[in-house]
Amino acid sequence: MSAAVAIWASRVTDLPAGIETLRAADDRALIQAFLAGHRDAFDVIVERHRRQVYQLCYRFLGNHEDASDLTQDVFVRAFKGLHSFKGDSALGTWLYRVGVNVCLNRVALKTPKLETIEPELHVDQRTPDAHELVARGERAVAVRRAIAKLPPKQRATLVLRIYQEMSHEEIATVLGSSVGAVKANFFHALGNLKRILQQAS
Amino acid sequence: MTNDFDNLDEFKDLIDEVKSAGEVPEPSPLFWHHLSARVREAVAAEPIPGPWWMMYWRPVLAAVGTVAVVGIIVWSQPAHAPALAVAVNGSNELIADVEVSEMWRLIEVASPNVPLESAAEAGLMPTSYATDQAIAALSPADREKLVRLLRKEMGVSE
Repeated sequence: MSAAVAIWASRVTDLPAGIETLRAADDRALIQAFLAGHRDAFDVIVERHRRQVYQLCYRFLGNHEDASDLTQDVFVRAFKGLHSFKGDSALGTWLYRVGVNVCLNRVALKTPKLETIEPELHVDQRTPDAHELVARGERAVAVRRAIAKLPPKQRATLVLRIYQEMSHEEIATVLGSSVGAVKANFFHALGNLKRILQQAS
Repeated sequence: MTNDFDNLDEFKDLIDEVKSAGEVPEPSPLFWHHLSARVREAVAAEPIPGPWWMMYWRPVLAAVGTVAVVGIIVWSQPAHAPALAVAVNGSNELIADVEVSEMWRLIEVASPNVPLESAAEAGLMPTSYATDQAIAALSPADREKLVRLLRKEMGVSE
């Protein structure tokens, strides 16, 4: 019996679908089950998408604490707004959209505190290429700081394109803009990034 | 290629650098359980929203109901709706108001040379149907007065 049929059967019989059945269901079936009253279905949605949402938030905010809070916020908003999800895109894309909006709002309100990695503390100095690792770590911190200085839409485009490996079309869907605007923002982001890094060095 | 980059390699190098800088430290396995628990707790008091079409059934039903009620009222009006008769019912007041109306005097001054055809084309003339209705709505006494006035105007003796 497929997961969707099992969920439907549980709805008809008014018995809760087992968590394992829900875990086997696809996103569409989970949404239907959730809207039909199964809270467990939302738990499975969280379980399935929490890592990607957390990573998105982390890349926007650069620290675990804020990323953790915003991930929770994204899922709370998703809970309240899932009824308006019409299935035009994948659930993951829709969650990215919610996530980007939440992150952009947060960034607009306050500048997040970037976690500074102290390379010396994390690198074993006894290894032969220790100095190179330290230099690489420092450069990574500088790049993250530079990304944090980008205008919000450019930053969002860069994060979604490079880290989440989304297509221009998907990014346009997430950001609610045109493909042309996404491409332009991506190139402007890289150009700005180069300038910021040059100034910093 | 944009003006910011001299060649494709420089462009690719920057993308690689951004990629390597974006590694997200993996939180502890417990974090994921805590996160799920926090979300569950945060939405515990929230009702599960229904599908969007169920969310809006009340306002849609209210709108349809309103349209239906208005439709029934309009449909149940008599075919010869006394739209004009409402104003004519109290014919005495109506005539008096018109006589003292500055606007009516203005029309009187402005329109003596307007041909009847032009007024009719402009939709300013009452239809014969409306006149019939107005007369039908008069009380017997008013109708007698009207007949007397018409006879007087036409020079017909009683």
